[in-house]
Amino acid sequence: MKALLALIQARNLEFSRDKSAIGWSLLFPIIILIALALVFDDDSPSLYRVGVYGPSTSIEAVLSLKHIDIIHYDDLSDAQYKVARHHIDGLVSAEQYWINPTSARGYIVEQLILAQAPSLQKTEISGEAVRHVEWLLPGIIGMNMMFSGLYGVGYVIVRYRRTGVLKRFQVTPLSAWQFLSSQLLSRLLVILATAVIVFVVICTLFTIEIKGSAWLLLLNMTLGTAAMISIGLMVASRTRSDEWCNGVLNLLSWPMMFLSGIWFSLEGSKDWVRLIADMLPLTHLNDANRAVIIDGAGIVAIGDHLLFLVAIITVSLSLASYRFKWQ
Amino acid sequence: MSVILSVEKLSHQYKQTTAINNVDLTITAGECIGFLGPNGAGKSTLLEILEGVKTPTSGKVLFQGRQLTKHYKQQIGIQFQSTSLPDFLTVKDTLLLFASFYHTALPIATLIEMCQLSEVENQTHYTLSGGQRQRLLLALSLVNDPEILFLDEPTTGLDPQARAHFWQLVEQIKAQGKTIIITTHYMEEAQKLCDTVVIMDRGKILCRGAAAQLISEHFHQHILSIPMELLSTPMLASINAMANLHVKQSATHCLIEYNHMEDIVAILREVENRGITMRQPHLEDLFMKLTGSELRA
Repeated sequence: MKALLALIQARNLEFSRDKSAIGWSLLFPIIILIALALVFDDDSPSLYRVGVYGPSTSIEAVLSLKHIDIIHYDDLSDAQYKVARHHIDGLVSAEQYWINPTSARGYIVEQLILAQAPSLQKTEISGEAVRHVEWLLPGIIGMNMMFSGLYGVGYVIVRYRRTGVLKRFQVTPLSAWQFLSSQLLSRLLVILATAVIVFVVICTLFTIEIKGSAWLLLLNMTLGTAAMISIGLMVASRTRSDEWCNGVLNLLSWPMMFLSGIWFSLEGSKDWVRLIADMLPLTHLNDANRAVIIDGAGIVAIGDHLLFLVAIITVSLSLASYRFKWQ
Repeated sequence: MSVILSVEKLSHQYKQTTAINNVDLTITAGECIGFLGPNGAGKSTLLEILEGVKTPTSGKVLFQGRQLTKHYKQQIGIQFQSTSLPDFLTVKDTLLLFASFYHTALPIATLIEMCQLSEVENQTHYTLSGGQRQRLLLALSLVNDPEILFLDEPTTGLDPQARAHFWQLVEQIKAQGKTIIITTHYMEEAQKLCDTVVIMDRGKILCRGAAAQLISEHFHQHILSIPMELLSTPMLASINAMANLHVKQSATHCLIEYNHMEDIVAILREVENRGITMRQPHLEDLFMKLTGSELRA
């Protein structure tokens, strides 16, 4: 018992004297709680989502309906696509409205629109709702890539530095650039191989068909994974502290997990939430994956996502190389 | 022999502490030179500067007469006092990995044979005994067939048998004509392996030379050690007054340096022949004389 208490006390002292450990343990839950409260602070979530295209003065009666999320669109084809895919339940403009006849929620929304503005012309948009598993699969695979990329290299490099493996490498002709590249490529191969296996198994089990090019999907996953690994390399480029590294990686991965559209669509969320989401590499990886798998998008359609991921890789790797310390 | 490595007016500062203080040193090709000094003497800092790991605050390090370049890393091998290696790699995997870092490397089979690692070549490094692990680290430092080999306290923590075994390996490497730079806390190790010994303290070189030469320069030929309890105060006073002797007292012993037996016959007649030892001075005596420090292994 004496030994047990002494060990508990020793471990507590160790923990309390590690400033980064105690800092992260206290700060991290508070930061996450504040962030989640800000993002999901709507206590009375809306029942339906209706898109609005163009000037809305003549349809004020529709827009004033309670418990309906109104989402404004500048691009009509984008808004129509959302109706086709059941992302929104209906779309209205000053002259007409668009409804997907296969959507049960769309039927209710149509009744509400007609009750408020009976003169609007009806246009039907056909399109199947995306199956939940089809929608979830790219997100789950993306999330797995994120965790494996960030933590898989981040922790290893910090441990190498702390235990002196990097010091031993430093006195050989190996350059920092060679070392970082080797970490990037080895981890990239492992993560991609794992993702391909998981992907094939899930697609077979749930009969999911990739509508676009499998090679394009592989290119996007390669860039997405490389972006995550590059961020991991940047975070681990000079610290010796596991706790610090863990804290920063948590701070990066949690927002991506909630705001990159893995679990739910951010359609209709606040502008600033969308803005943050657009700055996260996982959002671009997921969106491009979904576009290729579900909509059969080509390289031009997902070009912006690919360019964003390339930019993340370039910036993160450059910073990692510039900041890298062997000891 | 040509000078392979030299330092000129070398100094290194850590905030308020001067680790190396205006040191000049030359090391000739094929020499085995040992750095001795108490903890904090500056030998590790000097070694790291010579290895190219640290940049000195001021002064020059020259390899074959030229400033160190990137190419220098191809020419040297280093065994740190303690080194972690990537997990889950076998001895052979680890050697292959490190061999890949150099333009030229010795065949792995040669290294395994040279460092007597055949029995463990397929074992992961964390399953090795202390001696086997040090031999693996030595093999890693030899992987590029270096011109200069740095060994930083290579046998610290090894049992006497493993240490003797390691010394044999170093003797074999010496026989190949390689330059070896070694730091150690073991006087026996320095005396056995090193052609030249450098004793450092407080960032300065106190003396440099062959161990036997340094001992003869600083000591009489023999030392008589008498326990203090055998000596009365008048007897001690008369010993101190004797010519041709150098007397040093510690809490437990009186150490009397002498050259000729007849110089101490009078003393031996007076004291009981109990606990008295006569021996030749060794490197540890020199170390203690110059640094005034206890050895801390």
